[in-house]
Amino acid sequence: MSAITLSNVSKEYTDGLVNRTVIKNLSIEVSSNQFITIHGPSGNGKSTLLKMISGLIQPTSGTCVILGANPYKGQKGVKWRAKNIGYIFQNHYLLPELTALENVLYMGALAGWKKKIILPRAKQIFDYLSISKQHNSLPETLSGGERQRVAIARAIINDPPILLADEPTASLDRDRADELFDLLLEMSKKQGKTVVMVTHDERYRNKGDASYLLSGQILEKY
Amino acid sequence: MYIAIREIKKHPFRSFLILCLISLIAALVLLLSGLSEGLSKGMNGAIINVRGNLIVMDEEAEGNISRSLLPFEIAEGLHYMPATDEAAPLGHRPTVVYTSDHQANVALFGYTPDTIGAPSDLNRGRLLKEGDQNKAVVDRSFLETFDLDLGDSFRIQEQSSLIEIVGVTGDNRFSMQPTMFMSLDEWQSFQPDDIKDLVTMIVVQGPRELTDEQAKEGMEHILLDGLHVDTRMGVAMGIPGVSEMYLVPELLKWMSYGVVGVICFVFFYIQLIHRRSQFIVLKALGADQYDLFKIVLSQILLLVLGGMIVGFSISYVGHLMMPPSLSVQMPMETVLASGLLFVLASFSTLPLFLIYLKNLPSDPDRTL
Repeated sequence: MSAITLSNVSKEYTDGLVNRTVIKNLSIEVSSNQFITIHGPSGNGKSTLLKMISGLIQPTSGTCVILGANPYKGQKGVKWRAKNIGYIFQNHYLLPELTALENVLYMGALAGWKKKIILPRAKQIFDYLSISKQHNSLPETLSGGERQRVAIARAIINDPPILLADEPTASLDRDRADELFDLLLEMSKKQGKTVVMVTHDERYRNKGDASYLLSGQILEKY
Repeated sequence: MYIAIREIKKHPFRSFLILCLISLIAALVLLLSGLSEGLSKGMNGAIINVRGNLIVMDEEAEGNISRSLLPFEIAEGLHYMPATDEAAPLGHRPTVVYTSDHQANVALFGYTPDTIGAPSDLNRGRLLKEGDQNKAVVDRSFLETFDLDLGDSFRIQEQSSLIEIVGVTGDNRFSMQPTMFMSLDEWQSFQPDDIKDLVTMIVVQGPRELTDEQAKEGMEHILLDGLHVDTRMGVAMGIPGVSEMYLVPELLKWMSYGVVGVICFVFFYIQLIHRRSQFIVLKALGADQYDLFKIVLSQILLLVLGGMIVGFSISYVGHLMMPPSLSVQMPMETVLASGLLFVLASFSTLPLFLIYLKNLPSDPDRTL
């Protein structure tokens, strides 16, 4: 079954008086439980593609069907996103006034979970990601790798079927980056999640189920 | 609420300053409310607290109680009219009260015991009874002015006998003077011979199923020429000087509520701008405008309620220590009404924040 279907999707941005086409007539289909990586140079629309899949931004033309639904449904779409899409930003965007655990619990609260239900799950995830000791720390006191793991914990707390990761390894050293990649791969295989990871790191090409190159507005399979 | 508490803890100085400002405005608002209440009651408390809902006076007095004189018998005539349930005469004259330490001007009212001319807010002791001689019911400010208590005695300029205090009412001041109530018979005995059988006004209770205005209209049609009827509140507000004394603090009070609304809006708008990036991230994660609004609302609620409680406490404790001459009164209903209006004024601009949050972008990478 297809988890993500994009058909002839284009996205234009207006920079001042100039219209800039970032993605043009892109089509892709990602099956459930697949792990795919999307590669390409910076500024070629990889992040834009992920945001269209998540419903954060709307394509200028074309259609997106995510888990059989239209992700752009105004306020309903926002709640739908909290439950169905786990998004790992390149800049983790953790809330600075909340501890690592609170950042994760708040995401659970957004999806409507009661704390007593979501707390044991959050603790399990912290164990799984090896950041249990940091659960009470504020983001500013965590290392880059720890912050990214907290961001992953936040992305998976609601057990979303789709995980979107935007350059999650960009700010990490080689070993930490590999560890994180293996973790996402493992979650796809063991927990049955559909993972779309955007990266410019060629080492991860073809390590998942499929890899694509997005360059010059065109998406090609490696 | 949790994020709001964390935000306040993270910026304690900023939150403290906001809290201080809200407290000061809250204290000012309650003080002005208390002043408005006190000045109003100081001018017309004795009229507001009569038991009837209408007052009949001499038309030529033009609402000025001091100038009104009516034949005593009119009360009896009104009593039997179908447009009235009850009617009772009430006399008013200024007098001077003497104690061993003090002497001061006092408003002296005379009423017939067991009628609606009696004051409605007896706090201690008893009202006058038929046949009472040299007994008086006084208002609270009378006791404070002369440093007397229930059972104590004093003299008035009209007679040499001592008068005993048998009952105490709430604040029933009239024209900013303390008030005492004696029997109408005694009051009449103090009047000059040529006007001994005249009273100042007739207190009337119209049919209880009608509103005050309806009762007033019903009575206007049957009233004899030369008589004027108004509602109790109409007469109370028509006392010379009441409007001026009442409206100035009222105006300042309502202006303060406006200032509360504007200050809350400015403060929380600035906060919102500061936290814009946080809200964009939350929106990207799946928080809708109402989730974000809850965060803003809970922070405003905490600071406004906290500031209001502190400010109101300062004002309330302060007014207890003020001398009675300052005319600041804060009955619980005034405190509650002021609190409710304060919260409403503070939250009046919140819908604008909802619009702002709705239009906030949800792509952090392009906006942060």
